[in-house]
Amino acid sequence: MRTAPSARGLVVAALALALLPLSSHAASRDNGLEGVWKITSPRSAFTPIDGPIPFTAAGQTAYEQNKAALAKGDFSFDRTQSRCASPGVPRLSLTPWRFRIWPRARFVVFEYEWNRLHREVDMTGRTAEQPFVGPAVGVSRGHWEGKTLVIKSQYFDENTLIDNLTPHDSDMVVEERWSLTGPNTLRDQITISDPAFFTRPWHTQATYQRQPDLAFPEDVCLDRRDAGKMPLP
Amino acid sequence: MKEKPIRRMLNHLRPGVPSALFCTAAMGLALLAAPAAQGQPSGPGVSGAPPAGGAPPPAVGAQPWDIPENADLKPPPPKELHPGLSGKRLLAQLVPPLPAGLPDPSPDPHNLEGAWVHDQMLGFEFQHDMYDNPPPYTARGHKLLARRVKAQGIGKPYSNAAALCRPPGVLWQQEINYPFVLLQSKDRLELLFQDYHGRETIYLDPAKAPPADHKSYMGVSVGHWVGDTLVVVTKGMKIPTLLDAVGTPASADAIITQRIRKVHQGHWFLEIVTTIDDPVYYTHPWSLMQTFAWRPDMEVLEEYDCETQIGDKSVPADAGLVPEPPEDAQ
Repeated sequence: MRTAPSARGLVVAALALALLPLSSHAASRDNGLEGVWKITSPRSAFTPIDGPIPFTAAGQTAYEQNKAALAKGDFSFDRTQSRCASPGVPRLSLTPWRFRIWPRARFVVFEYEWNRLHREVDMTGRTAEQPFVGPAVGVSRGHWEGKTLVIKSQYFDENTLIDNLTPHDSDMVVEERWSLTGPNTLRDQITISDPAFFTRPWHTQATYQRQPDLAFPEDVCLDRRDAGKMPLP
Repeated sequence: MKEKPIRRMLNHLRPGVPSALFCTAAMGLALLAAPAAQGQPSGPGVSGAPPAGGAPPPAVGAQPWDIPENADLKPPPPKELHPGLSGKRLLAQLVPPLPAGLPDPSPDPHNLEGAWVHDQMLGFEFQHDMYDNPPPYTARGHKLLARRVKAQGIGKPYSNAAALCRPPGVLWQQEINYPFVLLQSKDRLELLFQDYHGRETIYLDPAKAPPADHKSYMGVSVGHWVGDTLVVVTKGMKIPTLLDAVGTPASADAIITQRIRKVHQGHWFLEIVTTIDDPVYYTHPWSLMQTFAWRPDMEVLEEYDCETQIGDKSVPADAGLVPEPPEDAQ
């Protein structure tokens, strides 16, 4: 039979909560995001959901150059496919293999099966500082809006690609909104801004299915490449 | 008591070599090689004075095995090779004091989550066990390390997995003075390293670990709790590994046992006692102890994308290092 909680019980519970130690993870919440995920429909390029990619003239030229090189089998414009370099953000969201999200109070880690990569997102509210050299994943700051993990990344290495063809400048800003659309379905809504290459911000998204929570085998991209396989399958 | 030659060589190198060892392995070894590549004096006779042991300095183009076994490597000059690269200064830069106001780790001794960084000077810690005895090298182990030390001494350090942007093995990965983030789920721990974007998975459920015949660069690590100490056994490496940037050897069949516990003695740290059981290179198992400071200010790791350079086929992929010849090469 259901009974109302006693006042004494509530006081004990409140005291227990108050006594919780301050630790790096005690206040973590995952809103269902913690776990292993895999892209629902593997693909090499993002599809804009608001019309074609709004290239500037410079962006269109760079894109066409990449397209022409790819048609000739020349991957020199693509450091991931030619060198196994990090795909960076947002392209990491297109890797066809699994990744695990580890949400913690002060940071969120994205751990990728592909080439053992991992990406840490600062959740402390600290201001993003521009590094001397832009990382492939940019500098990321995150926060929760309800049950949605919102990540803003900036200060990128301009040598990465948004996907298999789409270029960007170092001033690109990427906003990701990660949220569950079902108990085992995850969505990443992405907004890309880059005035040098795009006339306006544009939007895309990808969805993922929850996978069994198993560790990833050791993947060494350079070994796969040297064995004649494509770095990104 | 007379010092063994290998010990003497290491002692002679001690003042100068840490400058390289505080960098990542490839960078460190490249640093050692740099003076030779730039036509500057390096290794034996670096100060310009005749070698203390009386042996002449090696000729240009000399290989490590060209140096007589009884040759004495000239100690580097007493001052730092480079004022900005002293071991203590580098360590202070890499592991500065912990800022105030940051959270403590979980009080649960079975929860090791958070960011940690090796806070001891790299130097030649692997040349002493936890009781300050030298490692119990077999003749083969002694010879191999001597050759590697000589190669560094003449500015031609050997290549290794780390320099080629491959996973360098558990001990090397942990030893470098860059942070790692430790994450835990109910049946495993993940150590995500800044350097080489490395990863070590510690399986708490042996049934979920790869099969016994599975081989990988990092090996397979399986752990269990004994009281408040996590005991981790790592084996199944696909290639021989280096225990440190000096080249202290471990065969692919080595069994590495680590006893990890969280300690608070004025500050929080992980204490890791490592036992190396490798009959190929050591006459009996030996152990050393390392400490890893609690560093919540380092939990957002910096990017380490070594493939950008090493993966570029248009430039030499050896990071300036020399391929290591077979052990029986003379």
